[in-house]
Amino acid sequence: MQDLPPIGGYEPVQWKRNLPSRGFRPVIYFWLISGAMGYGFYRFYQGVDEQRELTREKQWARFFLQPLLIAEEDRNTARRYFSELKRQELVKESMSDEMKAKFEEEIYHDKSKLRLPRYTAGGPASEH
Amino acid sequence: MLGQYFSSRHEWENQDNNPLPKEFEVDEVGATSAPLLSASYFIGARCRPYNDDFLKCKDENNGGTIECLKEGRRVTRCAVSVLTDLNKHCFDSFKLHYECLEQNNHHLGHCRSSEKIFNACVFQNLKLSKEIPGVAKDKQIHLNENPIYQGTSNDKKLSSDFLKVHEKN
Repeated sequence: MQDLPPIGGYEPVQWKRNLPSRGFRPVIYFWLISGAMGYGFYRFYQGVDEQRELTREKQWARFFLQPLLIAEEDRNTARRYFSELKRQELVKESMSDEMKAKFEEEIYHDKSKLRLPRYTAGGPASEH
Repeated sequence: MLGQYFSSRHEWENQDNNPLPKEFEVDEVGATSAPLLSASYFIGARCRPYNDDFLKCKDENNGGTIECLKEGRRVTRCAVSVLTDLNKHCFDSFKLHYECLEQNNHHLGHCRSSEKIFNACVFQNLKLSKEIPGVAKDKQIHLNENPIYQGTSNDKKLSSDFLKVHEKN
């Protein structure tokens, strides 16, 4: 008994290696990636410039408003200062002369600046 | 009632509520942050001399809280005049812009479409234009037609709707 080839014969023997395609030449990948990175950096620094200008815009908007806000704040401080002066007058009225002299003594000898009332006894939270 | 029993529940009465003397009083601005930011460049354009005068006074008087009340009142009156004019002539576009700012974390860059409408209206009616100091006139960021950071498209949509409504009228 002897084995015989299948009907129609054997399939051809694969003698050649079947390697996948290697793609482009290396130098082309180099330039493609360099190009993509270059564009990325270009856009990034455009964005940096834009952020700087946006910050500048925001800062100048604030500079234009600042005197207005300071003026409003100053008026409130002045209100409390005048009110404090008035309160001191009221307190003085009912004092003996001895106490009054003590009360009128200057606390600070440095006259170069005005001491404004800084603290207030807190009112109920609902009114703040 | 409970204040009788718990000292921490006392209603404090020594709060300073005395008004400012009459001669120092002035109508306050009373605008919130978004309208102020929206109007800031026009306040700057009209009130620059008053602002500079006030700050110079503060600088020369070592803080000048009491000395510069007069200049401060001028600053406030000028800002109020700008806001009054904006409300009178450009109320709709002003509102469109500051509501956009309110919705976009006060990012001016996210509200360019409405700002364009608003600036055009202000220039037409009040002859005030927005100009950021320190940059050339053609490099101003708010005139950039194709910025990288432009937020959502919501402002563009609202602005085009606004334009459609106003072209019909």
